[in-house]
Amino acid sequence: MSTDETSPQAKVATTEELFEQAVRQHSRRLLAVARAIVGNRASPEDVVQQAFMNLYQHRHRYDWRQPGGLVRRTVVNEALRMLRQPRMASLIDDTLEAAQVHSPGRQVMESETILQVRRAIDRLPDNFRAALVLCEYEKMSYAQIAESLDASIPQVKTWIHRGRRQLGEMLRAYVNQD
Amino acid sequence: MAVNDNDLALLQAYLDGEMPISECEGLWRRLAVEEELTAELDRLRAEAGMRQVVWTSLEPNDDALTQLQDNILREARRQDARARVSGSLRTIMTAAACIMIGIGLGWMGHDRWAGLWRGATVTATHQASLGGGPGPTLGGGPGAMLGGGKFVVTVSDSSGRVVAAPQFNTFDEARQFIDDLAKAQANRGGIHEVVPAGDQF
Repeated sequence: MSTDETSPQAKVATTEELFEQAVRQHSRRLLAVARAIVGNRASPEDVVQQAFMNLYQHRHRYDWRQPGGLVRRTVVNEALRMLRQPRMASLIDDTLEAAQVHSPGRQVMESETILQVRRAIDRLPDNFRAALVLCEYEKMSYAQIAESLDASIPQVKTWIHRGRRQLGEMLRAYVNQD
Repeated sequence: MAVNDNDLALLQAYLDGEMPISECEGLWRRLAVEEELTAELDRLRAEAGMRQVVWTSLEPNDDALTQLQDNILREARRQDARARVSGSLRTIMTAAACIMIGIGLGWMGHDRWAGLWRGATVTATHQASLGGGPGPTLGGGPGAMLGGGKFVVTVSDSSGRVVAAPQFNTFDEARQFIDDLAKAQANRGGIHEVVPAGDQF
């Protein structure tokens, strides 16, 4: 049975149990989203942990039976909030190297291309990056993204469109440079 | 015909699944005849595929994920423990504060009553009528007999306010009351004096 489903016969899970389920179920993708948004300017683990702690503090206010949207929105907001803090300087870019270690089977060339794309993504404006990752990785609709980012749908369309165009230009420059 | 910005936005909406089915049919018809548009769609697909690999590469490995989950759940439990401790502390502090306030009020009240008793001067005088005569008095006696044959003893505090005026049927009862009052006042230790006044006392 999916953790998001409930049946009358099933033992009613406590909020704490549902919270734990949400952590186990969603943290992998949330960490990827946080990594995509904060890039090398903050710790994505801190973003996800802080987001979950914020939710846990007021856990009784939320419906934890289907927490996907809630936790995603909280992580995105926390990531953008961290990026707005002036003290956030670039961290050492070890996550890019870590990506290579995490994927030992990949070809060197492929890893190099991935690195370049990730670097290009890191250089995008925060909102472009957030909209792109929610659209392409989380497969969210423009309306859902607009709600998550507290923006209008045309604004989200523009961010995604411009983000892709800027990425394409950056990568073309990289290919031409080589 | 070159692909313009509008077409690009159209293709992207199509790839994102944001295009209504009615518009999709129009696009398919154009794709069937416009090679450049088809080429652009293929290019966008390839770029999206590459980005998909990048997004997936951002996912943590199992160890990092387990560590993160453990940290979150540990922190949540810590938060619970802190909340429990602070809740208990709050209860204890509230109870302690109530006790302290109670003691404080009791102490202040005790001082006030004790002061009142200590400051009281009770005297007895032979009065001709109820409430008559200035000053702190405790009066009684035949002269204080009322019309119905009752004896009245007025008890006044040091500032002259009458605090009680019990009535008695006989002189002996009035005398007994004055004696009892004198004993009670002596037991409290705060009475300056009890002065039965008048020949009868």
